[in-house]
Amino acid sequence: MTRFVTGRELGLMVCTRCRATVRAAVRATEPVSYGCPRCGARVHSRKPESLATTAALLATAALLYIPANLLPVMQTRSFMDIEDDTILSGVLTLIQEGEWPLALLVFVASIVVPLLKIVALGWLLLSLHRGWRGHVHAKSKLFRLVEYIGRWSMLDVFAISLLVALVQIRSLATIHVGLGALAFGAVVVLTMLAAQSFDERLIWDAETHG
Amino acid sequence: MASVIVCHACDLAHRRDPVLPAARVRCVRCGAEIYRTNGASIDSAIAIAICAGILLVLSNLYPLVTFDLNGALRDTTLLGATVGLYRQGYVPVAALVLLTSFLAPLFEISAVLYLLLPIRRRERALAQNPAFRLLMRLRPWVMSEVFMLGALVAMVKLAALSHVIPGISLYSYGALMLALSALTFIAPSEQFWHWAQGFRE
Amino acid sequence: MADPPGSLPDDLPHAVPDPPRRKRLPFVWILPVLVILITAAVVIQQRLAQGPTIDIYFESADGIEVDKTKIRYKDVDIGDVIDVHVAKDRKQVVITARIHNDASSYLVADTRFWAVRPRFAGGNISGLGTLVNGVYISVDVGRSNVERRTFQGLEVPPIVTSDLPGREFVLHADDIGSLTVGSGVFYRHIVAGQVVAYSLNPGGNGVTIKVFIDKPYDDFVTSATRFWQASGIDMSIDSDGVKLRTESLSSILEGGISFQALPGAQPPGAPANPPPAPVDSIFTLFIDRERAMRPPDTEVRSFVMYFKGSLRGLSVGAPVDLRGITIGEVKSLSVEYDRDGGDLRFPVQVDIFPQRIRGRNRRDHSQGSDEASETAGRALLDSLVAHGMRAELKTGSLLTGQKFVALDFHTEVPPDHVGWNAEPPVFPTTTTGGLDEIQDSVGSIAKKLDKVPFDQMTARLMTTMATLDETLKKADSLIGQFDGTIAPQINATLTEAQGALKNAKDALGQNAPLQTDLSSTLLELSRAAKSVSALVDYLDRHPESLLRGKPKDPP
Repeated sequence: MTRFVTGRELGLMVCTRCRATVRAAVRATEPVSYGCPRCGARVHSRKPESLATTAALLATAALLYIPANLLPVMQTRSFMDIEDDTILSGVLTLIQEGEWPLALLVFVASIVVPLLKIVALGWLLLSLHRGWRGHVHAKSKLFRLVEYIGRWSMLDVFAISLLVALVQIRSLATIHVGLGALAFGAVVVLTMLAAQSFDERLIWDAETHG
Repeated sequence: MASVIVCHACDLAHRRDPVLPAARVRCVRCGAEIYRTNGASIDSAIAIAICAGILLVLSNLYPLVTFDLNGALRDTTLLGATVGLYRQGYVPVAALVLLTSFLAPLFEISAVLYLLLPIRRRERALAQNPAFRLLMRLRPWVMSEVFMLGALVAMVKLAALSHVIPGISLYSYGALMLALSALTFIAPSEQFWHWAQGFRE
Repeated sequence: MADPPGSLPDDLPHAVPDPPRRKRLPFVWILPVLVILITAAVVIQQRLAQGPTIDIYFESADGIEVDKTKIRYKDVDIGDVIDVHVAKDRKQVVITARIHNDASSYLVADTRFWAVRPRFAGGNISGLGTLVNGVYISVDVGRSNVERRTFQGLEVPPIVTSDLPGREFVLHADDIGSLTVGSGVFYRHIVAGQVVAYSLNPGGNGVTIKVFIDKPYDDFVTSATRFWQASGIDMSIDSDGVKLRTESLSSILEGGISFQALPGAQPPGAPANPPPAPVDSIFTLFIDRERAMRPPDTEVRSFVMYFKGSLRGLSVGAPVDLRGITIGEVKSLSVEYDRDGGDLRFPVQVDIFPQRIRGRNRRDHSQGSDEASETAGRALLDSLVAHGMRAELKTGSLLTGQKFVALDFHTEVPPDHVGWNAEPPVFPTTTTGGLDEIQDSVGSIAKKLDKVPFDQMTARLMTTMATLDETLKKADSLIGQFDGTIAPQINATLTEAQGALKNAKDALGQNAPLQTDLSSTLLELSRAAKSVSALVDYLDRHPESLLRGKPKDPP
C-alpha cells in the first residue's frame, strides 16, 4: 500500500542542478540554503521567492510584449522607400507570398507562444496566489508545455539576424534591425527566466495542503 | 545510496529501486521524469561530443547562406549574423543570438568533453562540480534547432526577392543540431553521476 | 552449490579461462571518424573549388572594400577582393582577390584590371551604376597564353577592350598636334576608330600613336592608305597664302585623324584592291590631306641654288614652283661666305620631283635605262636654262610674307648653265632679290624712262625756246611802235568822238527842243492816224459815202 508523502514532509530536498535527493539536517518550514553533496549547488526545499521573482519577471515581459509587437522589428531600406515590418506584418507578407506553413509557424512561434507563456504563467501565479484548487494535472501539464516551447519564440530573432547580415547591398536594399527586435528578445529572455524561477512544486503544494 | 528519491516536479517521495542500466523512471503522481539512464557508454557521449565539436567548427568556416541580388552576391557565416546585429548597435540582441546559437553549444561540447574524458580515465576533472553546474545552467540556452528553423524562415523570405543558395555551413549546422540533441539525450544530468560513480565503483 | 553423492576427484584441472579481453571500441566511435572524414572531404573540395588568388597593384584603394568589392567580367561576378594593403614600396596599394575557379583561365599576361567608379572624362559620364552597387573591378581578358597572377591595374578604363572587333595600327608623326587619347579617327567623315595611346619616341624625335579602327572600317586600311591629321581647325600660313581648313565639327574639340586610300596610286603589278593591312602596321601621319594624298615621289633630284639677298620668308618645305605647278620643295637653307666674290651667298637646297614634270611620259621612261633617262633629263634642263629658265625667290603672299622658289623663263638674263659638276648640281638663279614685283615694276618703268629720248627732246625744246624768244622780241617792238605813234593818234580820234557824242547827247537830251518837237510831231501823227483809221472804218461801213458824202447829222 503506497502512500503519498512529499519530500518536504520527509525532510528531503532535490537539487535543481543534478536532481540528487538530499536530506536536510533540519526540518524547517522556511526554505534554508544547503549545499548539494553531489554537485555543490545550492539546494532548497522550494525555490526561494519563486512567486515574487516569477511575477516580477512576468510583469516586465508582459509590458514589453506590447512594444515587441507594435514597434517594427525590421526595416527594409531600398532605393525608393523605407518599409517597416512588425512581427505581424512579417506573417502577413508570408501569407501574401503563399507561404502558409511558414506563416503559421512564425505566427505561432512569435505571437502565440510568448502570449501563451505570459497568460499561462500569469494564470498559474494568480491561482497560486489566490489559493485556487483543482485542475492540478492540467496546471502541471500547462507549465511543462510553457517551459518547453518558450525557446521557440527566438525563431524570428534568428531570422532577422540572418536577414540583416545578408541584405546589405548599398542603396539597392539594406535591412536594419528595429527596436521591436530588442523588446522581443527581452520578452523571450524574461519569460524563460520566469519559467525557470517558477517552482512547479507549488502547484502540488496548493493541492496537497489546501 | 539513499533509498528514497523525491520527484523534482511535485515533491513526492518514492522508493528508490536499484538502478537499471537503461531505465526511465517517472513520478507516480505527476508523471514527471524523475531520472533516466541509458545503456550508452561514456564513449558514445564523448564520440558524439567530438562530432558536434567538429561540426561546430565546420559551421563557422563557410557561409551559411549565399544571397544573389542581381549579380551582387552576399553571404554570411554563423558569427556574421551576430556581427550584423552588433554593427547596427543592437548589442543585447547580438549577445543573445551569439549565446544561443554559438556560445552555449560550444560550452556544452567543451564541458561534456572536459568532464567525461577524465571520468573515462577514472579521474576527476579539475573544478568538476562548478563545470557541471554551469553546464546544467546553460543547457536550456542551447537553441541550435530554433536557429535552424529561423534560418529556414529567413531563406524563404529572401527567396521571394532573389536567388538563395544554402551554404555548406548550413548543412553542417543541421548536423550539429542533431548531434547536440543526441548529446542531451545520451548525457542527462543523472548519467554523468552514474558514469562518475560507476567508474569509481 | 552442494556436492553430488559420489565425490569428484580433487585434482581435476581448472579450465583455463581466456584472459579478459579488452572491450572493443563501441561502434559509436565510427561517428566522429565519419564526421572527420566528411569534414575533411568538404574542406578539401572547397579548397580545390576555390580559384586562384591574384594581386592587383593600384594607385589607391578608393572605394574598394575587403570581402565586399567584386571582380566582374562582362557584369558577371568572377571574384572577390579578400585583402587590401599598402605595397612594400609604399607607392601603391595591393589588392588581393580570389577569382572563381571557372574564371581562372582569364588570368593571362595581357589581361587588364581597372576600378569602375563614377567617372567624367572627355564629355562622357560613366560608371554611375557604382553609386548604387559600389565600386567594382572590371576585367578585360587578354589573348595571351601566358598565365599570370600579378597585375598592374589601370587607373583609367581602357579605350578599347580585347574583344572589340577591329584592329590596331601604329602611326608615326612629328608631333601630337591637337590629338589626345580618345580622339576620333575618321573615314570619309564617319567615325571609324579612336586614338588609344600615344608616346614620345625614344630619342624624342617624334611621337608614335596607336589607333584602333573598328570593324568594318579596318578593312579599308591597306598598304595604300594614308593617314592625316584632320584636327578641327587647321590654319596654315605658307607661300600659298593663308588657308583655313576644317575637316569636321566633331573633330574640332578633340582633334582627329582621317584616312583614305590613295586614288589610283597602285604600284605597278599590284592587284586592284590591295588586301587589308595587318595589325600594328606602321603608317606615317601626314600634316594635312594634301600632303597625304600626294602621289609618292619616288624620284628626287636635288639642286642647289644661290640667292643673293635675304632669304627671310623662305622656309623649309616651301614649294618650287614652275609657272604655278609645284615640282619640288625646299630642303634646306644655309649661309656661305663666297671667297671669290667676297660676298655672302645663300645656298638653298631644293628637291625636285621630275615625275611631276614628266607625268605623262612616265611609262616610256620607266622602261628605259636610268642612264639614258638621266642624260635625257640633263639635256632637257640644259635647254631650258639656255632659254632663260632661272630660279628666283618670289613672295607667295603679301599677307604672310612667305616666299617660294619660282622657276620661270626670263628674257633679259645673262646666259648661264646648270652646274652639273657640283654635287648637288647648281641651278642658276637671277640676281634680283628683295621686293620683287615692285622692283620689277619700277624696273620696267625705269627701263621705259630709259627709252624716252630726253636728249632729242631737249634739243627741240631749245629750238622752240629760241623761236619764241624772237617772236616775243617782235611783239615787243610792235608794242613800242604802238606806244609811240599810233597811240597819240588814237588819242585824238577818241577826243573827237567824245565831242560828237556830246553834241548828240545835247540834241537828244530830255528837254532838248528837238525832243520836244519830236514828241509833239509824234502826237499829231498819231491823231492823224486815228482819223484816218476812223475814216477808213466809215468808208468800210458806208462805202457810198465816197459818192454821196457824209449824211448830215440829224438835228
